[in-house]
This record gives sequence, C-alpha cells and structure tokens, in this order.
Amino acid sequence: MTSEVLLGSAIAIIVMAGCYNTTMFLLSRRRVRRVRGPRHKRLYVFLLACLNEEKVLAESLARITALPAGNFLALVIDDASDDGTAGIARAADPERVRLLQRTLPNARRGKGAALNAGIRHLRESGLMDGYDPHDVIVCVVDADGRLDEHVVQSVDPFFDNPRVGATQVGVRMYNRHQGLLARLQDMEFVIYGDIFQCARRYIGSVGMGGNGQFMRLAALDSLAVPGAEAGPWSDSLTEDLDLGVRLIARGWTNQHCTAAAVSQQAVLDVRRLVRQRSRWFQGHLQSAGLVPLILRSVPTRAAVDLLYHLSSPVLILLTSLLPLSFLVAVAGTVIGSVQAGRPLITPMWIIGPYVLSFTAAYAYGFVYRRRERGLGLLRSILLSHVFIFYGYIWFAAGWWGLWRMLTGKQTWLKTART
Amino acid sequence: MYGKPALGSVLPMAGLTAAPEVLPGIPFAKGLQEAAGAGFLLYCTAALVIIAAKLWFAVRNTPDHSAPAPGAPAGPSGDLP
Repeated sequence: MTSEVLLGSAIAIIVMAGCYNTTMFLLSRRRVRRVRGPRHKRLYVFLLACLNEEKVLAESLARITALPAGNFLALVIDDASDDGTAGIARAADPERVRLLQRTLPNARRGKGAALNAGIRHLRESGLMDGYDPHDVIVCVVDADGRLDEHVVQSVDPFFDNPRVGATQVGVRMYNRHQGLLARLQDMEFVIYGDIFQCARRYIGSVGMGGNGQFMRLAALDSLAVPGAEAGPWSDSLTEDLDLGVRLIARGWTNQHCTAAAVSQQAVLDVRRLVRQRSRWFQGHLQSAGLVPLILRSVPTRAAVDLLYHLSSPVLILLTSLLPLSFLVAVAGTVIGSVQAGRPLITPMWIIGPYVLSFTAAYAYGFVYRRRERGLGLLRSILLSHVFIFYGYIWFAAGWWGLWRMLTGKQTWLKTART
Repeated sequence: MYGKPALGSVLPMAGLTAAPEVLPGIPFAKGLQEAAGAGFLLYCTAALVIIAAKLWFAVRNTPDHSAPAPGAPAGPSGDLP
C-alpha cells in the first residue's frame, strides 16, 4: 500500500507541473489591459556591469548609442577588467557613454555590488540632478546585450502607470542560428517570456531577469536600507530574481514587455551551459531566504506563485529521479526480453510516457513558431520535442548546484564570451 | 527559473506496475520512483504549512493592506484585470 502511494505521488509531481504549465499557458493567451497615466519625459540610464567584456561590449554600446530615444545615457561599470573593456567604453560616444572604473580590492564582488556602485556613482556625479526619481528609468543590460531599436518606445508606456516599478523585456539569443544548442536556449527564453512571464502579469508575480530589466529609480530607492551603503541589489548569485521579489514585496508592480527584446549570446558548449545553469540553480536555492518576506509582504495570489517558483529547485531534484528510473526500467525490460526470448514491452511503455512528457511540446512549438515565422509549425514542434530533452540539463545543473551549496562554495567564474 | 518548462516533461515509469514479469533493475527503478514520491509528499507537507502561514499573515494584516508602504505606491497589484 505504501509503495502504491509513493509511486502515485511520483506521478503527481508530473500532473501538478502539467496543471501549472497548462494554467500559465492559458493565462498567457489573454490580452493585457494596460493602465495608463499621464505621459512624462523620462531619463533612461543603461547600466552595463562589465568584467573582461572586450569581445562583446563595443557592439552593445553601438546599439545603445544608436537608439532613437531622446534622453538617455549608458554607464559602463568596469569591474577591474584585465582586458580592453575600459578602452572600448572610452572610445564610445562621450555624450552618451560614461565609464566608472572599479579597482581591487573593492571590485569583483559580484554583479549586484557593481550595479550598486553604478547607482551610487550616478547620484554622486550629479548626472541625475534635477530629475524626479519616478521619471528616471534604470536599465540593466549585460555586456553582450543587444537591445531592440524600439525598446524605449515599447517599455516607456508601462511606466505611465505610477504603480509599475519595473518592466522586463523578452530575451533572445542573437546567435541562435549557430547550432541546435543555441536554438534551444532561444526557445527556452521565448517560452519563459511568452508563457510564464506573460501569465504572471495576471498573477502579479512577474520576475526580473539579469538582462533587459528596466526599473524606476524611485522603486530602487524604496529597496535601500536606511543608513546602509550597499544599494538595491543583493549579493545573491541570482540578484535579479531577488530584486524582482523585493519590488513586489514593497508594493510595486512588475511588468513584462513582449513587444521588445534584448538579444544575448547563447552558450555553445554543453559543459559551460550546465555550469551557468548550476550557478542560477544555486542562486535560486539561496533565494529561499526570501520566503519570510513573501509571507509577510506579498499579496496571497502572487505569493503562492512566487513560493512555487522559489521551490522549483526541489521539484527539479525530485523529478530528476524519474527519467533515471525510466531508463533503468527500460534497460531491465530489454534484458528481461532477451532472457525470456520475447518482447516484454507493451505499447503503454511508449504511449504513457510520451503523453505525459511531450504533450507540452505542442504548446511550446506553437508559441515559438509565433516568434520564428520562418521555422514553420512542423519544424517548430519537432524542435520542441528536442527541447523536452534539453530541459534535462537542469537535472545535472541542479545536483551540481546543490553539491556546491552543501560544500559551501559560493564563488563562480562568469560565463565566458566567445 | 528558466528550466520550469522541463518540469512537466520528464519520462515517468507510467507502465511499470503493468509489467507482470520480474525484470532485472526494476526494484531499483521502483525505489527511485518511490524516493521521488516520498520527497514530493514531504514537499506538499511543507507547502501546506507555508501556505497556512501565508494565510495567517494575510488575515492578520488585512487592515494594513490598504495603506501604502513607505516609499512605495498605494497598491500591490497594478494592472490586474
């Protein structure tokens, strides 16, 4: 009896996740009713925290300085780079691009610390003097981030609503044509943005990503601890997740903009990809510390979704046992079939797992095809079947991240550019 | 987490109990699945406790929810339809 209950519970993980994903998919298809307020002329400040980014920074700055927006500037925060990062920033349009050079031993303390230093510098340098913090929009862009030309025009209306504290734009991979792994990462971010983030607009739990997050300065100010020097960003490995949750807890609304995106470089090597995801996973585990804040300060509906989101590492670790179990069972059945001299595999072994595992692929293929018209529906659905297997990298990343957490390892090398 | 789409997409042993023969490796496979099930039951128990705590906070703080937080706007949910 106990065994049946436990086996049933294992299947219940899949059923629960399937129900959640289906609900999010249906919610994401609804139209958004946008609340508008008075238009304001706003200052946009792009923050680029850079550590040895000479390979990608020039292109990103060229994109930013060419934006058809009136009032904006970019601040490159050089976090004690060894390469030509600072030189590239100096060579850019001086009217639009400023450079903050951090030096050791205060530098290289993580992205959050660099961004906090950037905000302090903006204040101390007087660049934002005369501006209402409600009308200053700070955008975090990765050094390899290529913003869509129309990004400011797409994001700006969201801030007409005075309750909106932050808006995340979509994320794409600009090198998605360079092989299957890059294509699958692009699909991953499209699905995350177009299904989960869009659905969370209705729940009130939109998350922030580390690239392409636009935040009202007044919202960032509201996160500052009085008397503390640090700033709005935490030193978590996933400072973006942390910041998004704290904004919601402070009463702000986070939005997700589907009309514009930032494109970044996909990782082209499986080992580096797993390492990157391990870092995110470990950061997610660290974010368990946000639970008391969510319980105290986040509205119930958004809180339930955020708690599910924050607990997803546990579910990933648990579900990782199931494909392993399936593989062992298949191997055992093949051996048993050879020993018995007849096939012991019933159609149920194929149909059941296929339905449970790949039904979602059709929804993912449908969503991705809307972004990639040239791909075709059939290819998109076939690709989404491969995407299901691609999701298994989270299992390896999860156990790796857990191991690092348990062994007290907190430092990470950033993902190298190519 | 970006891996969330993968959660509903694993390959479970849906047909395991339907296999009448005793096959090599099946006890181990079954043990893995039972471990996942046991972990999920623990997860659900913890989730129930946490949600109960959230509801307790929600009930306790109901009069305060209409008041804006310092430095923050008046409402928590913005563009909800």
